[in-house]
Amino acid sequence: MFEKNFTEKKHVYIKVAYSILYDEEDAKDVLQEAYCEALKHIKDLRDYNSFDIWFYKILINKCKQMYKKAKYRTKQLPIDESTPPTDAMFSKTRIDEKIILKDIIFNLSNEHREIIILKYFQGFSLKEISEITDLPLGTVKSRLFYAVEKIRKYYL
Amino acid sequence: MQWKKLENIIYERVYIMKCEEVKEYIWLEDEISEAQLDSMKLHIQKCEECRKEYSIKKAFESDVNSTDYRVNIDDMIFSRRVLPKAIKKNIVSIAASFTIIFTVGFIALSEPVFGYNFGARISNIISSFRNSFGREFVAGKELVGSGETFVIEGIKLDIKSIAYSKSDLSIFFTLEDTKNINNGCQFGNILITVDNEPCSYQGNYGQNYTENISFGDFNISLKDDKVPNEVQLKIYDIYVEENAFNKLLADNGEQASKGKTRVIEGEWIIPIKLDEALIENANKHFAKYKLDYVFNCNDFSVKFTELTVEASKSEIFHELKINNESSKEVVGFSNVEIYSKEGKSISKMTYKNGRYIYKDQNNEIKEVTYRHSFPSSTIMLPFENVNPGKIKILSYTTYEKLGSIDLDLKNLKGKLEQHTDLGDLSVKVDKVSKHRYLLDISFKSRKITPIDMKLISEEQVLDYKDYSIGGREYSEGNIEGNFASVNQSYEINSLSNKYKLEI
Repeated sequence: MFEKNFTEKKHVYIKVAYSILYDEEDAKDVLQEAYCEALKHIKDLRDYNSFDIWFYKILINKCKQMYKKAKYRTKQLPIDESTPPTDAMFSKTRIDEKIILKDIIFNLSNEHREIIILKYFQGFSLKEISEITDLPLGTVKSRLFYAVEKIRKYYL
Repeated sequence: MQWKKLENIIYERVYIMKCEEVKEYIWLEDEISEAQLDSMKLHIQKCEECRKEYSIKKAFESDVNSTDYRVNIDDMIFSRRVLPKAIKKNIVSIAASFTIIFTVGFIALSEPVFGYNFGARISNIISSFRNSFGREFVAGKELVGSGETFVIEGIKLDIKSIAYSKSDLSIFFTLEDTKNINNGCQFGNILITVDNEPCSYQGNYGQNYTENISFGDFNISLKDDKVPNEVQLKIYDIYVEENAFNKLLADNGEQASKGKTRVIEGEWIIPIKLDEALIENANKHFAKYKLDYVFNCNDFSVKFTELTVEASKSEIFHELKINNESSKEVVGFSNVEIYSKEGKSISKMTYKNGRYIYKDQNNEIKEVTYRHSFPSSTIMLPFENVNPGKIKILSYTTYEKLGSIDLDLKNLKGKLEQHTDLGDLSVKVDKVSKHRYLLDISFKSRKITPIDMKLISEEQVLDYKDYSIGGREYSEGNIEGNFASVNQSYEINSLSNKYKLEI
């Protein structure tokens, strides 16, 4: 039963992990670890109908653990634009006008990104997201709106 | 239907939605009741501002539908990892034992083994191995050769494929206990030498497995684009976990970690044969460009020296100086664009956390992902057959270096707790075998900052030049309260007072 459920949805799970972490190898690692964790605790799952939410909960937790790694905490500093370029190498060019949604989502914080992915890419309700992320409904809602506010600026 | 209309009217009459509310509901369309939805739509028809907001949401939805995060996991094997954590720790920290390698007495075995036909299963693994480096071998099969089979104390080592690209060499292997197919195997301490020089490498030691075959891979960085004459894999231990696969199948791995692990110790040298055609093909796909540009920013300057383009990857080499002093500080670059000599944009990439998005010559958006542990002195770019003229880099990433602590392990018995200006340090030493010690180091900084910890040994500098022992990877980095902390395990071969911890 577990294998069947997992196999059917593993392509969706990897997309979620990847869309949160933006690193193929890490996403695969996270999915592998979530799989092991789920396998270990499957006997504790009483209602098999809630397998999906239960597995997402494990997966999101594993993603959170992955954020703690050094590379997810490196500082992204904009280069000092006041430094006059001495070569055309660093001259300014127009920013690409086409919106790339993946880029916009990538630029969100980890917390906001996971809510957006679960809500709009996976179609979970706020209540389900609250269950998956272990956050109060109000927090999920406020994070969602904060993230939406950031996204909509790109569309204005 | 009638009722629905009536409900709308009632809702409209009783409660007229305000713009603020509508703007909120627009983004929660699937969460609100039908009545609220209809009322919202009525409002949108009348209100231009909300109509604009609705069109934003629709544009976003359409982008969501056309955005696909594609990761191929068809070849991925889902399995419970077998070996206990403590052993894995030892295996990850292998470097210290490298110094004992120059002794002789090896047994090179080249028995052909069993005529095993792995068939489709192995071709799946190989395909997953190619993906596992995170870099597409663009020239594909041309750059991949095959290796030989060896038997070591009943453990069959199959070098399945060898991929060569001018600056990298990748080896994929499988391990199998021929005496008991239910046993799981992986390498313990190994050393890879290129022309008798120890070299740095990444990969895993065989801890991945499918059914009853363990497999792993090593990715070696070659120095100075020199074609190696002789590549050797030196093996010192092989860990065999008894009945690992049996238990895995029997109870979904619940007891897998309780299995007995046997260590086979010795010294075996495995030659890695490089096919001439392999090297020739790699050379065909290689181009090198000299760069001479110094970029100044705040207190540091970066000199770009070289751009190399090869089949599996491209790199921009740079030298970093902080306050005019040479430095090996880690700096990564983001948002890299390359222009041709005529000023035409050749490729545009966003590099953040292991991913580039760029536009090719046909203006198509492409994406490249790679493993995060790439050499810090390089920027990896996708392969393009181009003549670069300009490179534009919009942002950089840097780490803050806290300082270094001298470690005197000579008189250390058990555990050391030390409060330093940089933070709190805890060191624990365990003797794991006759010539090896396991060092557990935990450091808590007084600041919240990313911490990168490396242990440097003067003794091993001789053998490894400036290579740090144990590697630089985070094992368990996390933030607790107002501290940032990091724990790392290192395997060392002597207790002396010549260790330095750089943080």
